Amino acid sequence: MDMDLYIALQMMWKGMVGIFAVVIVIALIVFIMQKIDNAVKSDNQKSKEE
Amino acid sequence: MGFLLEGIMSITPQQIVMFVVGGLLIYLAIKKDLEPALLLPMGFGAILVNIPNSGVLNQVLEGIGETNGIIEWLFSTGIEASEALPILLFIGIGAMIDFGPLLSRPIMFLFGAAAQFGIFFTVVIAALMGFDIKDAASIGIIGAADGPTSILVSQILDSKYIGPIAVAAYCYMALVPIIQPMAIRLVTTKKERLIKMNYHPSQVSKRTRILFPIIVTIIAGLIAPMSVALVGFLMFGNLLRECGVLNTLSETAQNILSNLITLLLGITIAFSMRAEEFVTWQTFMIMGLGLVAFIADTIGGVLFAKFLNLFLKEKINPMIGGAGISAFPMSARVVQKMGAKEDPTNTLLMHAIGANVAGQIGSVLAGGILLNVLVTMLK
Repeated sequence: MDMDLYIALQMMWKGMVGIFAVVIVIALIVFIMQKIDNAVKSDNQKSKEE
Repeated sequence: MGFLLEGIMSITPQQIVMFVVGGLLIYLAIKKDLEPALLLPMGFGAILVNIPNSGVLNQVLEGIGETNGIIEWLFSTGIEASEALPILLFIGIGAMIDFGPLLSRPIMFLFGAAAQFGIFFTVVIAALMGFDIKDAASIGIIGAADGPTSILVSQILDSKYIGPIAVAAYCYMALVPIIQPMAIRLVTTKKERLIKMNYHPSQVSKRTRILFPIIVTIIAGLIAPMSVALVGFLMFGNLLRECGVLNTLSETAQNILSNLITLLLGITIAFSMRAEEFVTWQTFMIMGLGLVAFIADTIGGVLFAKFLNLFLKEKINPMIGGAGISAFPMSARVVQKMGAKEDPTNTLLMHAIGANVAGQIGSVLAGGILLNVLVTMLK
């Protein structure tokens, strides 16, 4: 196999894995931040009601 | 009187072709309203740089010596030396983006990743067609559907095709309303296009909006250090917008800075549209490969959505996957229009915007990761 083609195929595999790895980590962090915000919000609402 | 005809007698057929190309870009910008902010300066710049012995390029004048041309200087300073122009433009782009629809539905991040498939697919095809790997990578990045990213990556990789790459990137971005519907219909059934999606966004706190650009920069930078310039400046612009205490700077970034750099970037890129570099068979191949990149991006995003639907109770309309490319907001509007055509009561816009905005992050990440992987492979 031509060296450049081999590198291109490796780039495809590693590139897509790399992008997905980054966005999944970011998405999870955003998801956790949202959960924390919702928990803090409902705690504040409960303490206001009390 | 012969000196008056010197210029006319020096014109080559390739330069005449470039006058036509420049005129065509100007026509597309004005008459068809296709990305006028970039195509008009590029078109006019193409005419400027292809006039024989043009004063906008460095020249050696007999009896006088070397003179510097403004466009060549702008290119060597603003792009070649530091890639400053595209990177600074990212500040403005970041300041314009509202990540709210994405932050309220984090699953949309995945479409921003999936829709970058066309970049890497095109790198493989370009390598198969005989392009050197650095040129193949530069051509593949057209699929980022993002002009500054395409220019930046191809400049870092020292590609000799930066001119056709920039033209292809901006032309196809403008042609998204024509390219994407065709690609989406190719890989979806009517039943799939009719999938209805309800929009129940969760509130996004100011704290999340402020932490988001910082977190993205750090994570992307740790995994792909070459992406720090791209991602970092995009997120810097977004932080200016979201912090709430720098409204003047945010507005400056969105308007004055963006317009100023856009104005200079278009005419500067024209340096790479000199006839001897542009009028080649490779330019036609690159225009074809650019189209392949956009189609493969769209298909990649749509197929990923269909794959996700195998595991989801609440199905996603697969057209949303096609909105994961960086062409904002055109791609989102295309998906909304296609969805409304199938079922006028199906409002896909906000979902599509979430995916589209994710694509903006995905495309700059793809640029950085592509550079990182290539550098690692070439060691």
